[in-house]
Amino acid sequence: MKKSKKSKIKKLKYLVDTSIQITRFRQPYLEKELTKLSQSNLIYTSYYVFYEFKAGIIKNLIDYYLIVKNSTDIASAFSYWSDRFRPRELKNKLILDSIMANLYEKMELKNKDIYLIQVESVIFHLLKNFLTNITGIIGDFSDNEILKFNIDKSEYYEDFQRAVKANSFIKLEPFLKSKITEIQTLANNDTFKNDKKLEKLYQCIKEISLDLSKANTHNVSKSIGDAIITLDCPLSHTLVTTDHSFEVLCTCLSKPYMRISKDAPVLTEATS
Amino acid sequence: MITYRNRMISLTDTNATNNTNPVDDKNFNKPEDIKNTKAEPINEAERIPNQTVTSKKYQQILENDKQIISSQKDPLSTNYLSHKTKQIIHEVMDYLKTWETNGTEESLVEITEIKKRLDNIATYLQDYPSNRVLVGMLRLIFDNNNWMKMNTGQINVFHNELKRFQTGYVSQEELVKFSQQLFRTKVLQIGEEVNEEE
Repeated sequence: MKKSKKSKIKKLKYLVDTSIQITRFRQPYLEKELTKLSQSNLIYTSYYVFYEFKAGIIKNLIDYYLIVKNSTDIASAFSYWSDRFRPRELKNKLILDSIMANLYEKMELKNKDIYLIQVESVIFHLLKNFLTNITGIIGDFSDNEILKFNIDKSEYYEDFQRAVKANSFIKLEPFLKSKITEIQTLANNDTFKNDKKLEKLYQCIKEISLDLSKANTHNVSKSIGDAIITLDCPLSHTLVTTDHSFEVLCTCLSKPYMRISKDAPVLTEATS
Repeated sequence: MITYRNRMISLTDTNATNNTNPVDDKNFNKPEDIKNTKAEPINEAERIPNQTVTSKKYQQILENDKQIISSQKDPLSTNYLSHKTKQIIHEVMDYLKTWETNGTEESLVEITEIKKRLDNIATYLQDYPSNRVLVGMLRLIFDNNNWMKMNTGQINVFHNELKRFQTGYVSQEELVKFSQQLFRTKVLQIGEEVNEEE
């Protein structure tokens, strides 16, 4: 008697971007959706996403910690920190606002030392749960100095600040050399070119398509994060995001993506 | 002070049968040594959570603890810290069991006591990163209103996860697993929903 072959169910592979990694800490529903997805699929993230997470949210919280530590008054330290928040860090601002709303509520009642312990614990909790419920981390950039920097305790925060200052942006030319065809595809795409929301991103991509060394400058490197995540994402993985930019980038490069709405509790789109 | 110091030496003598030299570093910092330590309270008032202690007396107890920790430069202070950590973990676990049994509305006193004790121990944790972060995380759980929404399953998970530190020893590895479990089970949520700005 012939044994029937059991058909193997192939697990689909997903790659979550920075917007998902940030939002899952702020929106429990999203974490629930990801957990559901991970039960029968493989969820990955990338080293570049981790870099953005660490050099973004974590660095902001560390800045805040050190400002409070060096101030006599928590409330004025918070005010000072809020004022110096840069517009390009807007993506991070929502999660920071929600964390601050949580921490700030009892701020006046707190002893500064206890308050700092809580801020430190938030930083620890975010770092150590970056890969919780995630199958693995892939892509280029594993060698990045910021990623390798240990910030498990507050004693290392000042050194981390110095390291971020010394490595304030990634020189992307080496990575992009192998992606030149895709860069050209993006630069020549009319939908991308005409999308008003992505004007700055498009201009940077256009500059790089004409001169790859432009990717080694601070302004360009800091502006093309979404494009780097897209280029770094393998074709075999569906990129999961809440951002509009990836809809355009992935469509240009015929890469599968799935956009999750920040408000609706279900997966809204899947394309291949 | 002499009374405290004697008690601390007797505490360390119970730790390891081979420990003839209390200043010897390797005999103090092994988790197994701390595991074998009996919970010997310095003061009865600390051990019995519901005993009435005047605030002045309690402040004196805290002040004495702080002085002991800060004045000791040798491994004795690490062991004493483990003892204090073990004590507070057991206290929190007791309160959590009460909370799980009686429900949230009947456990507000216990929640307040947990917060007070965590604040008290936090005042002398500055030099001990793992203990510091553990207490910070515990304090975060009770510092927003999410604890009010915790169900009995989550309280049970919280209680079980604290067993990782019931010896008083807080390793980095266990701290990471603790953090990850609290995240998975939503016991610790660090963000609150904020409306997006236009």
